[in-house]
Amino acid sequence: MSDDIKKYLDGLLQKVSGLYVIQITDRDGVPLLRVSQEKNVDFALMPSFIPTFTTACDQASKLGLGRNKTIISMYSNYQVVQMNKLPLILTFVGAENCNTGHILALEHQVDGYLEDIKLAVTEA
Amino acid sequence: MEQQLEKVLSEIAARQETVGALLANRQGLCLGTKGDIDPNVSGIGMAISEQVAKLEPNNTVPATICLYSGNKRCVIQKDGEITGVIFKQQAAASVTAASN
Amino acid sequence: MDREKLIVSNQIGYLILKEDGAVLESGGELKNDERSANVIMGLLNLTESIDESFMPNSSCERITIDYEQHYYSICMSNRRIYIVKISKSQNGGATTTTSSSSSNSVYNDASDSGAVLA
Repeated sequence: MSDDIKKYLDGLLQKVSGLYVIQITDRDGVPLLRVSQEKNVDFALMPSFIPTFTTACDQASKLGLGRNKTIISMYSNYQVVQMNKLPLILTFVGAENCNTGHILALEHQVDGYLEDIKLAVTEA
Repeated sequence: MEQQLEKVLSEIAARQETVGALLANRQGLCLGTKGDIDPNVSGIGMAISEQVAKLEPNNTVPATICLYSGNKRCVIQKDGEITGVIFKQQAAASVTAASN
Repeated sequence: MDREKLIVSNQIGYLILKEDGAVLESGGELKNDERSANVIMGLLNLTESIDESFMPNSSCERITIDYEQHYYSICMSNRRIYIVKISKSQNGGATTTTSSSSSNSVYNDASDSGAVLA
């Protein structure tokens, strides 16, 4: 099962040019699955900004516009797209000029693959 | 602010056989749509136009890409920072006429 | 162009690829053009899923890439990918000037769609 989704995510990494990392974690930032390109993204930073996203997402949900789904963060060298998938958090890290729209469009496609992992997380 | 954009989209969508039209920016984010088209298409449309730009990088005039599937077509063109995507569908009558 | 395969009249180059992108045959301006082959394989990879509700995934049977002076026509058939670069001027490329009805319709279609976007 996990091989299947890993293969699929690796395919996505090839498809979207400028995408460096796709990571699936639980809401505390515990990594469940990660695929990455050989590019030197600073992985040391990764664990800390995932719980930060959870907090930011909770705060953003209080703006009175409904539940927050996605946060896009732009930096001078990177862009980070994080999606709130309830027990899971999906994180994409790409180049600053990476196709944001394409990453967002992946959301619906990935949903099917996430179901199994979601189940495993809620049971644990 | 986006009145000009809306005007262009309306003009495109009013053409014959057009199902929907969309404009995307440099980031692949949707600027506007008209007709029956998913705004999420902006990302993939932009990715396709970027990929085709690699084919003849020295060519200054942007290419028009057309994808055919049965009686449906998807037309994509990039011009500078903006990418346009149009979905077209031939009416049943004109399909039989074309195959003759 | 004497020994080379003539797929359509007015052609100025062609590539025939396997499903995995390996070049089987090539000729004209696209002779041994691995770079173009790779770009087009990347394009085909992207066109697999555009919008499920409009076009079913992987249902795209033909792609044209239209420039001012020429266009590319890409077809999938018999587990092969056929790419033909075709000149728009009647006397460019091949000696025969009568263009087949199929290439004619491609030309009209593409130029029409270009006008819509312009």
